Amino acid sequence: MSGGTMLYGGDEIGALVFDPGHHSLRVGYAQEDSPKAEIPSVVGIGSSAPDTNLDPETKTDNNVTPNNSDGRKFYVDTNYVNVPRSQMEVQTYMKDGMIDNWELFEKVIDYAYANVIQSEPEYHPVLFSEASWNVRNNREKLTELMFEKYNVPAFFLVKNAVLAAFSSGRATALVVDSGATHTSAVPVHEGYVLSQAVVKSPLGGDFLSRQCRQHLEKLNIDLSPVYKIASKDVVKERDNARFTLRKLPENLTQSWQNYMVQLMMQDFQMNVLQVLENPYDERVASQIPMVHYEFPNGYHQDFGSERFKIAESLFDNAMLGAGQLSSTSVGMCDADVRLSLFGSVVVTGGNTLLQGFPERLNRDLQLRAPSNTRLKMISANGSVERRFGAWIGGSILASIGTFQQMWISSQEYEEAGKSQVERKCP
Amino acid sequence: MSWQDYVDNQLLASQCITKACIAGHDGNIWAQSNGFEVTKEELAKLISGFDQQDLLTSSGVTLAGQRYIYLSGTDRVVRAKLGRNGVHCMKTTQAVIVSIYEDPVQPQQAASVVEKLGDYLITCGY
Repeated sequence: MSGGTMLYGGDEIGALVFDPGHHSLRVGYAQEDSPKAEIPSVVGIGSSAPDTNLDPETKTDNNVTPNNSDGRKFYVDTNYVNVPRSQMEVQTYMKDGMIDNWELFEKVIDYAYANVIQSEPEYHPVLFSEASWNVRNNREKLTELMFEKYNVPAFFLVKNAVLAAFSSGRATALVVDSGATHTSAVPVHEGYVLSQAVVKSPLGGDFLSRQCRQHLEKLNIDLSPVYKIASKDVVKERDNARFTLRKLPENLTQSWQNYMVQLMMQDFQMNVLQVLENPYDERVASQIPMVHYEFPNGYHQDFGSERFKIAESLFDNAMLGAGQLSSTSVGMCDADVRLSLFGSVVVTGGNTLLQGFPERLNRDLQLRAPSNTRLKMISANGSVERRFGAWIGGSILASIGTFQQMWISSQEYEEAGKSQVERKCP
Repeated sequence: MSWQDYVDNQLLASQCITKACIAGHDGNIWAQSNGFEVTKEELAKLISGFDQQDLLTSSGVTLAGQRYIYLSGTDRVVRAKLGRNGVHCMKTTQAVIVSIYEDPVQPQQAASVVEKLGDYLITCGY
């Protein structure tokens, strides 16, 4: 059935692994230990009006995907989106953890095949990750897209929680995934998601970025991203920044400017925020040494207790706090599996790289779990393993021998149609 | 074809399913494979679980005295597992097909077999 017309030659499987998320789309080859590319999940959409700004890229580059009949240009990936362009809107194609805007998503996949994989789609089996709460419509649509448009020889869909568990070497685990837009607790049993017990909250990395932005604006700190700065002077701490503005094209859209500020906030968040092991206490927080941070425009200062106050919002919410999510999720599972779930809690997702996240989660879970439960948390040490946990799991899965018979081949798709995905990809 | 034929020649003969049973929505057993001692009460509970998943999530799926852990399901399909054995059930217009598969059979294989038969029964009006 599968593997009939394919050139499966022992180690040469050549499968591709795609892991779409709200922050980025991770894409690469199976059997490798990290993705080849991480493409931000936004697409720049340029209007059909000719650019008044004559930057050489737009003339010669053929990486901008071909114009639509209505003349819109699409810009994919950091090198093209982060450039100031007049009238370029920035839009994401993800919504609620699932692919929402299929037109933009297709452009990104086209880009991935042309620039990252640099090979024809019909030669590589494709493994996609999906949200643990993905709906049937989306799964069928994706299956249809891959087989009909890209003519992939084989396809499979796996829930990203299962992949994250695999990447930690476990088939049964409670996967706590804190990413850009969501934090979710998903119990996985023997490689299958217990979908009735999936709990998620909208508190994630983007929420923290917004909190940071609000806080900094309240402090009247000027948030000029890098693209605005032509040159800056060295100033003393807390002095007003002195910098010269760059000459920029007109009509820079609000969505693009917001996006650039958000990127800047993400950098601030990564370097400054920390979460305490115990719930926020002003005295404890003020005793910890401050962290110094310099903004792109030259302004710099020390940050103290506010670092903890902002990060605390991920944990202190009575219903949506990370610890509460996890214990609710386990509570909704069959009594027999609860012990094994507490015994392997896998922490994954870029937002968990927040300093102190695993320790605080450990403490919160310990409080909420039944008194004599043995709680074990698995959180990879390297940032690559945490951010790309699902992708790495996909890479592992696609390379296992026993998995090769599980692909949906193009033949099966032709015989049974797109509903085959419901049957074959639980 | 009698219901017993469906169980033996369609489900078990595929080599993917080790035990199977076809029953009506009220739990009445129409046919079952050798040695599969599932009771009417267990089936009735399973059938009500198709519409109300909560009944199955905490207490699992019990068949022939063996309790399986409920994995996922829709109003047509229920999946459960225990160690190396798994359960795949499908509800048709008038009946429910219950199947048990064991290692090394993959859930997808069992699912394909059960759902193909289920879809066929639905087209027949059963």
